[in-house]
Amino acid sequence: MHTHHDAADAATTDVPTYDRSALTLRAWRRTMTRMTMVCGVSGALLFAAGCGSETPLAVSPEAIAAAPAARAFGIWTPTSTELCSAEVHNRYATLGPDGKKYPTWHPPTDPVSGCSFGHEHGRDPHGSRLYRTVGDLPFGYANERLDAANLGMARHEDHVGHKIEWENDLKIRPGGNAGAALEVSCDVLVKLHQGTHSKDAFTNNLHELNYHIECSDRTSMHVTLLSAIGRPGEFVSSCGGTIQAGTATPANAPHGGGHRRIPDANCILSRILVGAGQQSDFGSLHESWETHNEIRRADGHRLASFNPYFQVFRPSRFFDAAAPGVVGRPVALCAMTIGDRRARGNECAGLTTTVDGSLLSVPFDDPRSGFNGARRQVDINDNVIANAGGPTVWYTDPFGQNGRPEPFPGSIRQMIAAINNDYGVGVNGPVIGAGRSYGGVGVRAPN
Amino acid sequence: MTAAAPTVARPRTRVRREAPSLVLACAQSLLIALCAALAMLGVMARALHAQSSPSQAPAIQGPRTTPSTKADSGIGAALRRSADRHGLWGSVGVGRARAGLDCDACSTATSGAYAVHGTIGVRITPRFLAGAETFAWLDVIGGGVDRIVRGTHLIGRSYPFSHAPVFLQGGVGVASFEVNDGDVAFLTRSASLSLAAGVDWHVAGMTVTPTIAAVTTTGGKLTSDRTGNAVTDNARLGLLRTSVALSWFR
Repeated sequence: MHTHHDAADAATTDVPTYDRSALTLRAWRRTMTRMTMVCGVSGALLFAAGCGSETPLAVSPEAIAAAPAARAFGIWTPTSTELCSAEVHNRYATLGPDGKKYPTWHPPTDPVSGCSFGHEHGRDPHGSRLYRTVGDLPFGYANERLDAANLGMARHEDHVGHKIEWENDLKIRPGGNAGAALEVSCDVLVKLHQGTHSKDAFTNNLHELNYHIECSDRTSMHVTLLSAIGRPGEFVSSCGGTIQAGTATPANAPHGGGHRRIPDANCILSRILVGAGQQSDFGSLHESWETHNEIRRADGHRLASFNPYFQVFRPSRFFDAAAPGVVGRPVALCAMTIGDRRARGNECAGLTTTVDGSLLSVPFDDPRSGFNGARRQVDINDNVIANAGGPTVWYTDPFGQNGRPEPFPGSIRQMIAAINNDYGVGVNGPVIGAGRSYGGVGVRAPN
Repeated sequence: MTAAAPTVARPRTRVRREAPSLVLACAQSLLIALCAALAMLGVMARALHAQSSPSQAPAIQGPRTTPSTKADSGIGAALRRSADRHGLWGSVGVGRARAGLDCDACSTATSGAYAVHGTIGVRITPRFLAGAETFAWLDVIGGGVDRIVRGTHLIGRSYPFSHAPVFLQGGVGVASFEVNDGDVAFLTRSASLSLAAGVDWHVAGMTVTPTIAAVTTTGGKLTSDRTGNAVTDNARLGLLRTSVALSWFR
């Protein structure tokens, strides 16, 4: 069951809650429409008996409109006149645990006006079984909490990079031969800010991660943090090796486990631009952000750890130190030749034109380009909890550290089951999202 | 593609075990069953001794009674007296069984493998026997994984028909299920129930006893032996066995 979120109380005490009720304006209207239709037919008794009980209770549009805006709210603006207006976009908002309004998931196309936003946020979370517990995800909440944490750093991310993925009844088989006796069923709902259109991730290792999982072996985590993915200022090339790409923002970002594996020009050019009789390896246009996340108590004890890998196929960028802004565009390779070497394959079909004898590619943000980062998958790896006998609610700093039972300035409420679930065998690799593409009508870079 | 997770290296303190042999498992279980049977017979012998006092008529016809003396006391003597009065009974069997584990986090797969069981007891009445049974089931899946079921039950066996040597048998006790790859094992142990039906055929001076039996447990923790952490609190074993035993009745 869900209870109404008391925004005023949360704002006062700064205590975020997960069992709050949060709903977008659009979802609120949809819910009200359903209630009117169903309850009008069924009568007041049925209405009183529990209409609309399947979704979190609505927060009124007025409450959201009256809430103070978080930094992440309202930062998206259309880059083309054919896209929806910012006003339409801002209707998709929710209240965060701190009582501020945040942007949240919306479909690529506004179902009311029919206009396209030009970007997508992944899978509609309303279908997730965990949505009934989690509600709408406030995009940028962990970034906002970092501002309040007085850690001497700030980190804010763009809007389009927030990507949701989820799966119900995901079957996980622990590793090792003995693990074959087990088959753990999990509901998973994750969101990472994974921008793959700009230079941001070349240097910045802090990215907001919402991680929700509930499994049949009692594993349960509802965590929001800024995931430190690898080291700031550098990334790992798809072809191997570390590339120093510049200065991170914030410069004092903590180092994290895992890495951000991103294509770079040296790697890509040799695989995409090939001679006659060969096929370009467009699969090398692949980013893999391999995260390692920990929730720790103030005394250093690790309460939980989890290592989801976020992979993007056909992103709209690669690292090119020689390019303006150090960002190369894969679609531009469709029109590039080096001697007899050029891009060969269906991926470039229809993306080039010849003007005055010169082969030109469409712009990187052309909706016809398949290099838009809309094909993704998430690997659900180890989900280890060491919290037997502990409270299920912990408050940590935005990086998941310094966990305490009580809230403190800048803290984020984390929920972790009071169990130990380390069985001595690893759990790696169930994939969610593979085979799905979110590149619907109008979706284009930057996405 | 799935790459290896960047997990922190975990020291492995557990020494790799050799795969347990079926013989060892059976011997262990038989020893437990024997002890249980002896204990039960001791109790029964005391009760029968009380019944054999001059003031009480013998409840059941026996081949011969031996006067009780102070020198002829203890469990061994009680066993002898009980055997003389009522008759001992035992059987050893082998067969095939399918077993599996049921829990929220368990694989639903069952597998078939060889099973053995042994029984020892006494004849309480001409048509009711009591005793103890132990059983084991070992399935080597491959890849060095053993799935092992072991159990010991106190049983009662009834021959409901006077004209046919058909029996029904029920038991209560403890059973365990273990899956073990030599590196890590998951084990559950809990109270269990068994039901069986069979028939005693007298063939060439022997008694051959085909039996079908089912075993289930009430549910218990399924625990990793490496970390001691429980995957679930309610793992239930299920086993269905068909077997043939050689039985002795004295």
